[in-house]
Amino acid sequence: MILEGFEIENWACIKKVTVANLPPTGVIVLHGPNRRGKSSIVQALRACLLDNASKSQALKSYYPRGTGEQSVVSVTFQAGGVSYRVTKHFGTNKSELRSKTPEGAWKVETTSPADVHEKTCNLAGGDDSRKGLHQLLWLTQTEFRLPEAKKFDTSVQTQLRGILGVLQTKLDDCFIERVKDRWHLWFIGQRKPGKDHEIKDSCKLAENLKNLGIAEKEMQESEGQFQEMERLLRQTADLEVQKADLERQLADRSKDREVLREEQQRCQVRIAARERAEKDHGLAEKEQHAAVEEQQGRQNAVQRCLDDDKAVEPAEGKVTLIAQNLNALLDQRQERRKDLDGHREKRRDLQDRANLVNTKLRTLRLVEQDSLARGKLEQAQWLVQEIADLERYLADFPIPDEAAVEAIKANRLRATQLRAEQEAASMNLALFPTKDCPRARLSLEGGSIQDLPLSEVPIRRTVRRKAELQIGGWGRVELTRGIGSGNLDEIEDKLRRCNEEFATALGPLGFSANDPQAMQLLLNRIAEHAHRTPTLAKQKKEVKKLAPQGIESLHRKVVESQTLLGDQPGMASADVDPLPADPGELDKLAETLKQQIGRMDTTIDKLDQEDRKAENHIAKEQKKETTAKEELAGYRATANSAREEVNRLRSEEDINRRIEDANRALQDAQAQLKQTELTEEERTVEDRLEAMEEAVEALQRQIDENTKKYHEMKGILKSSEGLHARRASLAARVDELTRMTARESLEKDAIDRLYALFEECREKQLGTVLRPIQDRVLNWMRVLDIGKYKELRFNDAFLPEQLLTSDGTAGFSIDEESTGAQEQIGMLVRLALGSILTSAEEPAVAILDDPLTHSDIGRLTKMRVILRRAAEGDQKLNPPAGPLQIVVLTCHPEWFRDERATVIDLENPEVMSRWNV
Amino acid sequence: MVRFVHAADLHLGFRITRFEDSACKRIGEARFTALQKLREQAAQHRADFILVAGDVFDDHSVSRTDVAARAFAILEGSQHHCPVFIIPGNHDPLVPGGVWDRDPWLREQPHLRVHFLREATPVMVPGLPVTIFPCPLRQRRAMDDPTAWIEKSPRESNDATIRIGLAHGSLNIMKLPEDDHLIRPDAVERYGLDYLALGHWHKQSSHKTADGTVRTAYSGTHEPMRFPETAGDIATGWSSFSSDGDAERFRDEGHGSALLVTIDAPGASPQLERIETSQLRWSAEQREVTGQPLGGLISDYSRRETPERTILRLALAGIVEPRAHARIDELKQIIENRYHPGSSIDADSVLIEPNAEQLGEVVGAGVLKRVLDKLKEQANATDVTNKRVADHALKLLYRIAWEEQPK
Repeated sequence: MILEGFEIENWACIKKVTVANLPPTGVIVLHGPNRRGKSSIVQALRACLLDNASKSQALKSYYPRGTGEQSVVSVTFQAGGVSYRVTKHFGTNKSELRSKTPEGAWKVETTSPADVHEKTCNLAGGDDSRKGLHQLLWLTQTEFRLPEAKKFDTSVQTQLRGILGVLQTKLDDCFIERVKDRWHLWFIGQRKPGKDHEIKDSCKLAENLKNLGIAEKEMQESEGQFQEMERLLRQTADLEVQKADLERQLADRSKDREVLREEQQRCQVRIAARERAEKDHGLAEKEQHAAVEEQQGRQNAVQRCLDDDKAVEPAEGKVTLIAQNLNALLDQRQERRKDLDGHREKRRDLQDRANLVNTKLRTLRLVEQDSLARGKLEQAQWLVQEIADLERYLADFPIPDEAAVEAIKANRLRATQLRAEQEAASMNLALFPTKDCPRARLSLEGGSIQDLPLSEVPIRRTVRRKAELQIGGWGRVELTRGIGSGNLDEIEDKLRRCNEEFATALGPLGFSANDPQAMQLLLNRIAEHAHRTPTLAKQKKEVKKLAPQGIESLHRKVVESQTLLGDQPGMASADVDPLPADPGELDKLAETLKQQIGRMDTTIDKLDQEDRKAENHIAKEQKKETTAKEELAGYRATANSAREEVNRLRSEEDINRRIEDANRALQDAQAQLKQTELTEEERTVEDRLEAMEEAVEALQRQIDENTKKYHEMKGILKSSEGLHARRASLAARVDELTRMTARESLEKDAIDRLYALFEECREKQLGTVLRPIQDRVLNWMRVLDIGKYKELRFNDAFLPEQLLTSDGTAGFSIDEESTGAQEQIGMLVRLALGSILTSAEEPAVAILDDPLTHSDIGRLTKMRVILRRAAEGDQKLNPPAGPLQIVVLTCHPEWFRDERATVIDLENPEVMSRWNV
Repeated sequence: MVRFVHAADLHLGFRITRFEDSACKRIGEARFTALQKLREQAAQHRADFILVAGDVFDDHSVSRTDVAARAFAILEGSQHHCPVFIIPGNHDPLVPGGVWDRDPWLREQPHLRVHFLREATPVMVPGLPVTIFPCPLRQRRAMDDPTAWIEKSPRESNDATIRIGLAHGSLNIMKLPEDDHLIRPDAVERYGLDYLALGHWHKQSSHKTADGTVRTAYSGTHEPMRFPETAGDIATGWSSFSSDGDAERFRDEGHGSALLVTIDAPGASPQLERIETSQLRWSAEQREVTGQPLGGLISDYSRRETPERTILRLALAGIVEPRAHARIDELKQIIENRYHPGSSIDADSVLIEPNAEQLGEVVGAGVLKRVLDKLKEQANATDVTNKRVADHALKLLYRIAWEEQPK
């Protein structure tokens, strides 16, 4: 269906618009500014051709407000090669459909509103302008994107399928839905090629796998127990064999033991006889040895007796010789000791004299020391007294510090000045008594009245405030004022304060401020301090020098020297040789005595050494003598002892007889031994029996242990009851679950395989079927310079789904492109799909209301060419693309206008007039 | 003349895991029913005694109350029942703490009718001219010949009893593990036995002496434990304790039996008669379905006798068209509902292949057609896992596509 023209009256803002003689194909541009009714024209066309019957009440909003005029839309269109004109008076029953006869006359087809609407819809291709081919080609401003697959009219899809070839049959749809449903029983999310899909936790397979894991674990445990039981079974069997073997061995050994015991019993008599023979033989041997030993002993004793008797005489001679030597040595010692004693006596005398000399010398030195100590003590004591006096003076008569002295001096100077000022401020009273004038009495400043002396010299007083003169026949009284001009009261006050300060300063020093000499006394004391303080220091220094450790130490020295003196022995008055009094002489004498003593000591030492040597010699001789005597005694004793032994022993004959008897007894015993000789068995029977007893005991122990272990195993095996059934049950469960899992897994894999193959085949088929569409759109995209895409993949609803880059490595959704590109791709796909649904015989109209608003001018220019080519169609394509009548309503005619486009200006009043609303 | 029943390998309380728990319990229960049946068969045939040649219990750790005591009660029977002589086998060897050490087996011998023979020593059957030479096993595996001891008890000149050996082990007549309690093939002649009753092998078999007389026999198990060997390697979870594991000699015939042995006199040829004892029948079958109408198959399996006592394992193979494949479920229902628990049908090997006319109808001309082509390629892959998944996916494709066909 294409438009030939239309006339719209009283529709929204449109008063009237008339467009006629539209070309059957190509681009038609209806332009006008915004809000001039372009979209209203589209609405009117939709309503008239497709959406509404004339009596529809749904269009009231499009009636021009306040005019009361009726909306009338008349559209002339061509369908199936025939021209029709449909006119609808909206809001009424007035409708009309006419067709143009081959002769060019208009023939009324019907005037029934319902028929008009139905027939028109049939001719225009549907009763809904948002469905069918119109869904693709009739676009409002907001519909620049492609519809969603679910919302894309299935009738269009069917038409496309009819033209492009079989893509997906209804059976395919049902089949894949079933497959998907089953696929979702196991998997999470949507299936994507090449992706490992997670299994749902809730699916039966997952549950089976989980249960299988548990059952396998339990079965393993159960099998473990079973294996343990089997091991025990084997062990118990071995134990039984061992036990039987051990018991057999025990029986054999016990039997052997009994045999041995009997053998032992049998051997006992012969063994006892043998033992007796051995004992007798032993005794005989012993007796023979004893007899021979006795004989040997007697012979030895006789020989010893003879030998000792021979040794006594030389031993006696030796003792005598040694005694003579010893006596000579003892005599020599006596002489030497006498000489030594004499020397020692002399030495003692010399030592006594030396002692006396030394005592006297020491006494003299002590007396000197004592005198010196006393002198020092006395001097120190005097100095200490002096220091105490000085310190006492300095303490009793203190002086102020230098600053205070200066202050006192300044105070006195100021007092002198103030007194001068006081003087200056006072009156001078001068009395000039006459020669025989009676005595006058004067009282100053209210003080006591005193007689004035009579003198030729004028009497002058200073009066500050009051002077009372009692005159009796007195001469002239003159009272004058001084030259000072100060304030007497102020001066007096200052003077008083000055004096008070002076008194305060002097008070602690023991001076009276009233004493006119006080200042002088203070100065004198300061001078005294200046003199005494260095003296005190000097004396302290001297004391320190005399007694660095205090005066007490001097005291102690004096006492010590006196004590030492007291301890000195008194000099014997009866000395033969009186000692000299001079210490020097005494020293010399002491030295001489010392030398004499030294010489004497040397002599004595020498004699002592000789004596010690002689003494050693004597000791050796004495030892020799003792040894010789002992040797002599020994010879004598052994000789006696041997003699006694010989006397004590039996006689030679007796001993010989004893030996003969013993030899005989030994021969008898040996004969007895030979008779009682034991066999090997008799000798070893005891040992063999003992070994056998031990073997039996060991076997018994082994059997006991074996039995214990056997019973333990028996208990464990008994407790295995029911394990067999449990194992069977678990194994059955594992078996069942394994089968179920395998079955379920196979089912899952098969469904996944079907799903995958279906997708793969569908994809392949889509690619084949939609190749012409894809090629055309991609070609246009290249013209528009939209990306460098190799492939545009369509879904089974014939709508583009994915763009593949030129290297085929990356896929993009259309939504990832820019808004402008999305709009342009959408337009291209619509035109491509729409054009294959048309034919040269039956072109279709595409109405684009304000399209490509997001495109730049460059792309718009290119798009203009694409629109023109789309409108022209392409019969060479397979399937061929039919021509289109593309009606563009825009406020930018320059975007779409070219030399081939039909351009209609809606501002042209001959075309369109508007209500002023 | 003496007549006795020779049985062995009862494997009571046996371990089976192949089936779901309730099925396993019922299969285990069937062994007791079969034992009861054995008892009754012995009474019917007026047997003088019963010999059980080992492996009464599948293991020592069987439940005392559910298995050990119950087995005792059945074997002990009632007063009109004959005595039973039992030896331990390699599954229940005589070990301390084992099942024989527990009540009621622990009780002092003899019981009234049950005679558990613990020692390898000749036992006279009370009131009969029969000497039994029991060869109890004390180990799971051993290299000793359990019958060797009998050599020490040769027939005396004045011995007029029928000498019967009772042993559990492998007759050394083929390549066998050395520790499988091997019994010399000429044991009967060597020991002067009239009959050697053996246990250990689960299939019934008899063996002749040099003079062609059958004097040695395995009675086989009294109740089957697994699918017969024809079914290939279908494990049930049970395992032997032999070192060569699941060997052929431990496969049964899918049904159980015992031997009724009659010996007229010492030296006479024993007469052996098979007696059926099994409660269940195990059957593993394979059916080719290519070109076969499934209706016939369904009819066959729904009409079989005593399906409730048959453990059926049916494996289908071949190629069917989708409509026919849908009927496999019908067959599955029959097998699962009518046959003994544990029965199953394996149709994994059945391929669905629509004919040329159906193909377009089933998969259409869209994507599914391409998917089908791809899957067929993958189903021919050499990689087993890949092929398995592809095969299953192919079936699912057909099934779903078939279900989605407009009705």
